[in-house]
Amino acid sequence: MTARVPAAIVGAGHTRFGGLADGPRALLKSVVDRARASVDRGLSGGGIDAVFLATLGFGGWQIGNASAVLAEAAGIVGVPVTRVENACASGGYALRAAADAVGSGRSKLALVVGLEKMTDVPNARRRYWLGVSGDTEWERLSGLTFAGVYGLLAARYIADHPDAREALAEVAVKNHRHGLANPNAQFRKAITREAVLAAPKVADPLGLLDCCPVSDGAAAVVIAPSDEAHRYTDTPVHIVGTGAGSDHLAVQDRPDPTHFAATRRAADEAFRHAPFDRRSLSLIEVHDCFTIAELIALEDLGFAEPGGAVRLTLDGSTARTGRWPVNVDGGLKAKGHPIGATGVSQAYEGFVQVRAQAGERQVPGAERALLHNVGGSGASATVTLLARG
Amino acid sequence: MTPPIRAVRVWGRLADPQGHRLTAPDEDEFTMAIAALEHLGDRSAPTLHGVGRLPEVFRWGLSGALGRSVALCEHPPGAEGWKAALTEVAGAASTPSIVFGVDGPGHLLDSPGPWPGFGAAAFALDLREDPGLRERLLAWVPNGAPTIEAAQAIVDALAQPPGGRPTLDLAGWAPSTAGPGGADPEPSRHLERWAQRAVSEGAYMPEARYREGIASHWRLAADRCPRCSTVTFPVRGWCRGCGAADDLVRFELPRSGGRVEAVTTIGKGGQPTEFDPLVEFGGAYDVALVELAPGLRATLMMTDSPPGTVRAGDRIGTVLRRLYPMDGQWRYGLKAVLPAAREAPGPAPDP
Repeated sequence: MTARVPAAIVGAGHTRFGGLADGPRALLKSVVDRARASVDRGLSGGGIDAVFLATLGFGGWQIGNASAVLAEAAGIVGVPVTRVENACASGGYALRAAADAVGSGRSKLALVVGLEKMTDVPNARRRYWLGVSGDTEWERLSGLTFAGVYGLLAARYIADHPDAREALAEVAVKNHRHGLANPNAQFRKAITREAVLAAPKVADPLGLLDCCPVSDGAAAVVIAPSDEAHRYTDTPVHIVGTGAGSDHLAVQDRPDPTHFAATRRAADEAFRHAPFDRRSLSLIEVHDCFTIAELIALEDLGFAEPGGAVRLTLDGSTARTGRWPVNVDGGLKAKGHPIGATGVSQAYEGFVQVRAQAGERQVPGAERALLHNVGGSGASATVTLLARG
Repeated sequence: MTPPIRAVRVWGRLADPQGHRLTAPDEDEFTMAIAALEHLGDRSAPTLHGVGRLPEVFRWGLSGALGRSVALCEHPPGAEGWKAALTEVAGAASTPSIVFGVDGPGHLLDSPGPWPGFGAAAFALDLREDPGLRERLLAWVPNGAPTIEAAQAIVDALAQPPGGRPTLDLAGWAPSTAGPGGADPEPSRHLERWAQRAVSEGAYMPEARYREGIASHWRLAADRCPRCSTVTFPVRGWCRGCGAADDLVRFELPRSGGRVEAVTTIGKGGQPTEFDPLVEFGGAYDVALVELAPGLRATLMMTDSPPGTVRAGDRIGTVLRRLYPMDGQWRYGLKAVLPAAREAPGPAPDP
């Protein structure tokens, strides 16, 4: 039994998230340059020989062969580039694919790039693209976008757990507070529970401030074999577990419509061979595309029993200073959610936190991180575990 | 024993500023004809008599789509068509009939009002229950009114026979605001109007996939696997338990009694783009996750009840309604209704 996937992150880059002037090519170039520059000893010891590009291609600007755009923009020409698309979990799946490529020995240095450019399309077209990753036949054509599907989940959750509405608001308040300390975050603005509860309803009970924003942005990490990581840096961050899962696309087809089996499977797989358990994690990045998603994630990841995430949230356990800091970078809610970039952005956060480079938002003594990335309303999910060398 | 007088069901629920009732945005001659058909129950092989220009869906092989044998007779628009339809009905003593009509689909496009509606109505007749109906049908004089008024006039004439048994069911009607002969030669204009309101493309559902899904979307068709007993809904052509594709036993889940597990109200901006016109004209709407039978769920839009009035735990029924337009035609499927919403006020049944 191997104790770890023998791969480590040796560099990472991140653009700002939000409404950016840069187009997708400029974002790609910028984030790859940053990732390369972040490698302490540079990349002279070996060139990147595989790239995994996570993007939905939002807006349809390059529906096929986006790899060639990366080559052109970032000067990575000739090496195999694999585009990974699992909706909002594209980044997590690209990370896992890269770890596998390195772990298998096929790649000696892999680059994972996540990218989305979402704000440069007209509003109506954007709303079309926001719904392309859910079930079309029964959910979308019954009048639901993702906000609607998560609205149903939130309604069910609140019916089962009466304090949940306050907890949902607190998720937004906490993640906005965390975002204040993240220079890359889209929103660096504190909000109150009252404001969350009073916001216009999008899909009752979810209001505007329960929803993550539409964002541009990119993130990238460089992955090397663990036993060669010290050629690049003294402080690699090891990928010590990965897990992934899938589920029925439509919520109605799932035996338990209020929890995500894909997350549970991914977490089980990631922890199966990990050298530590949940209790010793320093920080947790969960996929909070809507506030309800953070509560569901905490339960599916095994941090609480069904309904228990309400208390964890309301008693401060998930704040940066709490027992299990959740989304210290602001999460999707405040940091922003450029679809393909999100899973890679989580890896960036794990990397800088474990290396104690997170500045104002640093979790003291952070050694172990869990990253949780979800596609759509739970049809795909990944869990990645990072640890100091 | 006197059979109870059936309530007249009024499904149009929107009123324009003048107080005229319009056909609801998700209803038309097809949904009303189907409602009338369902009202008849399982009585065999009815004939559908359509007055006016009918949409393509009627020519798709309705018997297969509905899972029961039906015949279709098309009649010209207006008084001539009504007369022809009723004459044929009067001659068909042995089978029940559905009579339905529609004004030109673009009928009201240019009139002010909350919805670019048009008149549509349907009712069911069964001469086996009341042989006296035949004479009254033949005696009815066409008055040239638009569809709703015409249907109402027919129903009034038939439902008040001196000393006769009132056996006529009006399954759906809504008065039109338009004058007679409202000439709109282009049936596609209503769709175009919707398409113009929808400022972006919506999710694309090819007609082949839509028709493949009709059995479950219209009738809640499910498959029971003889090998592992798993019930698969919506039907896929194979068992979701064991993958077997042979000998699946097709049946239909109950159309009423489903339980709302969760409901959300979609406010402005929360809707997919293809529902922009629905929100523009009708405001917010509810969507429910409904448990139809233990462990079997469907996501259904609610209709006929104000948004925010449905609660988890409510029991619902289902009605066939318009869902969305695509490729120049309306697509149909079941929506959920609160049972109370189906029963408009009418004469109380005999105790």
